[in-house]
Amino acid sequence: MDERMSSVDKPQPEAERGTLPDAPLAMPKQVLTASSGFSLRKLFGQRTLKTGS
Amino acid sequence: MAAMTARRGAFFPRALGLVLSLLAAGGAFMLFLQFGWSDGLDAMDIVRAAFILISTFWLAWGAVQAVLGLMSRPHAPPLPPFTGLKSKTAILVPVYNEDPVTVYSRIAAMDASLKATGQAEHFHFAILSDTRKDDIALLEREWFEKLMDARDAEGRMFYRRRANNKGRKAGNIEDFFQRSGGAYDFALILDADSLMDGGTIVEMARRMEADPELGLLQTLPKVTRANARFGRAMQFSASFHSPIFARGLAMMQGDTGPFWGHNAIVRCRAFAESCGLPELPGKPPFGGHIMSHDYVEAALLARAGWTVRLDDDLEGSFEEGPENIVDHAKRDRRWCQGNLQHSKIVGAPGLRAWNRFVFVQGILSYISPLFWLGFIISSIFAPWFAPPVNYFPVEGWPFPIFPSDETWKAIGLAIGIFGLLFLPKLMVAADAITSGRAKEFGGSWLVLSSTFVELVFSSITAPILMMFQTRSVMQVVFGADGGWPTNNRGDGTLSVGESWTATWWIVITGIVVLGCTWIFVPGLVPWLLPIAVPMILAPFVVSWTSQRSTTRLFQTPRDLDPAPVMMLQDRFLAAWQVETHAEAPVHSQTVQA
Repeated sequence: MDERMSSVDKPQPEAERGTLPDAPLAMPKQVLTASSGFSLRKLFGQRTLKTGS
Repeated sequence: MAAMTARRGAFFPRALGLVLSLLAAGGAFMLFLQFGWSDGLDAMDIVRAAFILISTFWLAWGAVQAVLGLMSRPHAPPLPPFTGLKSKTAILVPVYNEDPVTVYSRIAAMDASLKATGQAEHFHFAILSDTRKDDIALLEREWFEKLMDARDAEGRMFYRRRANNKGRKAGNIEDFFQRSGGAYDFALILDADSLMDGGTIVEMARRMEADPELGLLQTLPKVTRANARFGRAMQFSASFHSPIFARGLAMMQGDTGPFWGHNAIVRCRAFAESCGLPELPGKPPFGGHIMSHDYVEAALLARAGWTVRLDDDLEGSFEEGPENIVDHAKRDRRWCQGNLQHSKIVGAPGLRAWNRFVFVQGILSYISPLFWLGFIISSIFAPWFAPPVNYFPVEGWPFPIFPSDETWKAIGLAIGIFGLLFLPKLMVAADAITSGRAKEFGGSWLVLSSTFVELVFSSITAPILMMFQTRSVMQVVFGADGGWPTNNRGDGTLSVGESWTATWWIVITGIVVLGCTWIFVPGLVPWLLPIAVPMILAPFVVSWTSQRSTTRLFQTPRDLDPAPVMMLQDRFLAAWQVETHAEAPVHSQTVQA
């Protein structure tokens, strides 16, 4: 966390003033439309809990 | 484990809410059927009873939220002793053709408020512009330089303008995550009119650090700075009633929401992994970009196993609202399209059952006026469908049998429906008086007066809002895309002429409906007057309610005791507005908080 903070806080001399830090995060597109057919199992399917910051 | 506990904790409120609402709806349905039975049941009676069933369920659902909210009090979750933040949070301020001076004065105030907490180094601000008007974009960039100088914000404040505004606000936020999300643990998502106290922001980051399963934490923003009669009535309702209703809603939603799109903090990794929104198949209004993205993002986080929570004990969260009915209707048009679009998402694989129900609830909130309208119209035409009264129903019985008078059942039903509308607000007022909360709103007498006037006020404006909502639903159903209009901020005073331009079709509808009733079912006229009269007088109602309020009514705690961050914003704004009005060359002015 500390390393990341220092890299963000560094001034960016080559970029325009106030340019956002370059630290991409992938954002995969989610599936929102039901695949073929209706199924109660799909509708109320089990999910696993995720943890960690 | 915390999520499982929250899920178990939500079972009782959910079950209670559903059972009570179904009982109320079923009772109203049966009562209306009995009323219809008195002169011979016909098809139109069954149609009207069905309209009553759905409408009463929706009203009862709202009332139950208030009852649940009154059964609890705001409380903070248990937290370890605070030893300072360890995380990094980006405060995201999406803007779209807004006045940069006002928006930046809020940012400067929040920055100053954060500085006072001693935790400012853990926060950055990112202004995410989707502005399409080049003159406003130029001002945004120009004033960003002034903001940076004023707040000595090198390396802490950022500005970027997208070349295209694909995906609107959701796309704007998504673009930030894809570009810079990896630099932060959390992101506080705001609206351009959001204002949050530094202490509240720090507390939100602290709660996110303390609970690694927490994907999103929503605050309950209070509406502030309203001046017009309509705006102040809404502000009072948002400040006085909404916390109770929202607490009831949060009890039912448990760990699955809600998310209202702003004044909420998200865990960057959770949000990025779970909330990449695809375009829906087909053309707008149902296909294309997801408009009301917040509900969907909450559902996606919950689907991935993250907790989505509303902490209603967090104060210091503010927003501004529309000042008049027309601006309210414009915003509502966008929300209507967004909620009806959820009909395409409600069957998405893997969603939690309650999130699906929330989508249905959102859809119902917009189509429910159609059920009332359907009930009124079917009541006007009901006499045509009624069979002639049969005084000799028993074969061979020589004496006439007169239909029983069920008028009292109809009156009882009307009282019950009005009770569901008014009782929750009266209960909130009674609770405020007995708990001492009324003092924050100017005392018991002022709370009672404001509550009573708000009930009258909302009864008068409801038919007009119902017509706007009905039009929105019809436009969406028939394929009209509402686009992405800029929000109107500031003074929203409307003349009668301007109001007529926006409401003439409501006036004509009111006259036609009242005229038809007068001709065909004169007995219904008294029942229809409370709806038809405000519709016929809509231009005057809209104009009058848009005028500046000069009474003490609708007083809120922030009127009596403005939050420090609000006063900070006033100081920045006042100083910068002097600059904008100066004819001399503009120089940056440093304002120290």
